[in-house]
Amino acid sequence: MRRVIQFVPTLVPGDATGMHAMMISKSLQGRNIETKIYVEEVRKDQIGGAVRFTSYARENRPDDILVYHLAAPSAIADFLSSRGETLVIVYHNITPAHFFEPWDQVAATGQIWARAQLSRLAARTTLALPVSRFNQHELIELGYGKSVVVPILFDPTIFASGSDKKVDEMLRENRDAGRNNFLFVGRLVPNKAQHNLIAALSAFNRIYSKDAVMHLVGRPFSKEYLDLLKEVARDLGLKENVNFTMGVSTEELSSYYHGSDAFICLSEHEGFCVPILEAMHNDLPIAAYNSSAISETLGDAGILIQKNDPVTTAVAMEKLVNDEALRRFLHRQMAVQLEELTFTASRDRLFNALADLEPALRQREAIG
Amino acid sequence: MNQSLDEPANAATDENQEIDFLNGASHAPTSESSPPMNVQTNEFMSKIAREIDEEVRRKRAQGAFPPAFERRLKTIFEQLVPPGAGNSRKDFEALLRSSDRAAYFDIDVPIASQKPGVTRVKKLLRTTQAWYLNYLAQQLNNFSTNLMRLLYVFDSRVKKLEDASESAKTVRPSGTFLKPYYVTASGLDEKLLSSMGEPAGRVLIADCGNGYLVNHLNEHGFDSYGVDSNLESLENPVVTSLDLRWQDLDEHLKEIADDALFGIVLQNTSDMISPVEKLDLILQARRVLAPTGNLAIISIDPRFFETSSELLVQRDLSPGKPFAPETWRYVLEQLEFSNVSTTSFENCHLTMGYFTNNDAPGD
Repeated sequence: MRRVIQFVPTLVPGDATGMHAMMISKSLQGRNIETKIYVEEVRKDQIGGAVRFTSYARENRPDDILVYHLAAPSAIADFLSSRGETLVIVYHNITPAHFFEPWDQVAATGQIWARAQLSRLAARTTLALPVSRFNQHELIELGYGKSVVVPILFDPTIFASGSDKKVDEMLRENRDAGRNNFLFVGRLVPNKAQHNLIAALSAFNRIYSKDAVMHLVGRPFSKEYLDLLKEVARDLGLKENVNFTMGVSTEELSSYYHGSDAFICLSEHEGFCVPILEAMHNDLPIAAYNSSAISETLGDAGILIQKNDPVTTAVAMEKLVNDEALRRFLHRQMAVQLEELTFTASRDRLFNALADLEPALRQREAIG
Repeated sequence: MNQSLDEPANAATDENQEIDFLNGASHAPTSESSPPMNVQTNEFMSKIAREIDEEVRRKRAQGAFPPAFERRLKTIFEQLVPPGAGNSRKDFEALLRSSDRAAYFDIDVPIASQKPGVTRVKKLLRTTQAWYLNYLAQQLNNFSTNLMRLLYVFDSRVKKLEDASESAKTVRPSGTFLKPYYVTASGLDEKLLSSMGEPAGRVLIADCGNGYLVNHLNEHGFDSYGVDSNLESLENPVVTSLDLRWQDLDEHLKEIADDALFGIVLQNTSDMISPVEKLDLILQARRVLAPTGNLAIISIDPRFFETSSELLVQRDLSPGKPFAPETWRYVLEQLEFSNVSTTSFENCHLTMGYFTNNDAPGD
């Protein structure tokens, strides 16, 4: 049997790319396929025992299937482009450089470099596994051949570790004081448009005479953008209403999902948006701006905001927290959408896609 | 063989369902026994979307989130984003100043340290290496100073070029040089209202001034808003809760998504811009109009400019001359507007065109 070797930039907690690689690894092991993960950067907080990618040159087998997770610029791309093994690309999406340009020219240049790497690997790639149809279109435009959409392999057991008492208490206090808790989870980065979330919160509090709180869970990509968000919040009189959590533990994250009233996403560019899946799993009503891959992940399980302006978002927020019929409807729709995006469904799509390369992955029913 | 479908082509039935799902067309399992669920889902979600739109209109009409506050939000962001975030002249100048500040290389390395003795070591290093660093820094500073001087000269030349090309294009009726002229004519508002048909989406009033037409349409069930590049005109709106925005029309149109508006009313500056800009404006308007959308052009009668010295000055200093109604009609018909009609008033004309085909060749 051929080995499946994965390459990811890093393997750290909370990173969707790394988590997807881990779940693929787990699935393949379940089918007795020999698998291993290599990383570009071995970090202290790394999960699992992955080693640096350069070691692969000494450990390779000519019939290996190499699976490269592409989401950022990486020396791995250049390393793999000159190798002869079968190459599979898992495309998580590259954020367009223009989102970073004013804030961090190095990051912007990095995105351009990543796109060039993605483009260069097109001819070298046997199979592409974009995580959404939105990503698939980008690959087709870049000249990729066979591609199969395999959504993120989401592991709901991550929320089984329990919750954080302090966060639970803080959210409960807000609720008891009549303050709604709104949540967004994701790196503080311009394309995720946390500045628009603050503007929407301002509109919500102003229009409905409320004192709601927006919890922004995630680490900042740059000090400048974090400073801007804090300035905007202060300038709009929302210093006490915007909670910048920075990094959180799994328990804290679980508490935010369980204790919030609604999940609001105004992101302008997402290749998949795992937090939407997490919110659905935690039965948290969602309103999200209809951009990039959002509508694919959300389906009919939340309000798709068509116009990205503070008033429209504020009205959608009000509906999410006060319209009981809507909440009941979304509760049912989230269950339907989660059925479509279950771990098993995505894993089967992965196996089907890889079966042409490794027949042992063909679905058992089909073999029988 | 290149294959961009989701699954191999020989796996028929299940695969189609998966593709449907990924298209977002159907998220529940599709079978013959379950179509009502999808129909119900779509109906319910459409109802929610309608309720949100109506509530937004209601709240805006109540003045719950005044346009002045929205303008303030925009200003806050503009002030806070780093230099170069936008593409305006102001952004460029801010970036130039920030580059100038960063262009000086300082060899006076800070030597303070909380660790005992380290300050002395640092000082020693700085002293012993000063001759070498100074030599390098002098060359770098020389280079960066010249580079910055070059950029300033370049900026000044580009600015002259921009000013020349800008004035060749248009003289904006703003500031003290030119005053905007807002046409009023008896019966114009009623004719506009009857020509627009039943309200079926948002209507943009360009060069809205004090919002008279915005208010008039809103009072008759339309969801309209105004844009004007002249801040003074916006200061005293006829009704404070109107959605009147201070922005250039061309900038505003660029921000609007395709097919987003039910109607557009053009007036004032659309008379005074060059023919090329007029055509560009109509093309932009056509892009943002929904299928079956309305375009209304209120144009000042060219002869009316002879009646006052103020208007004569404005006409002579503007790069474009007002079109006669026949010219507007010809332009709209050429750009595939249908049922183009003109109604004349004492000093202006109202030309209406209906856009029915958003997939016209050449779009």
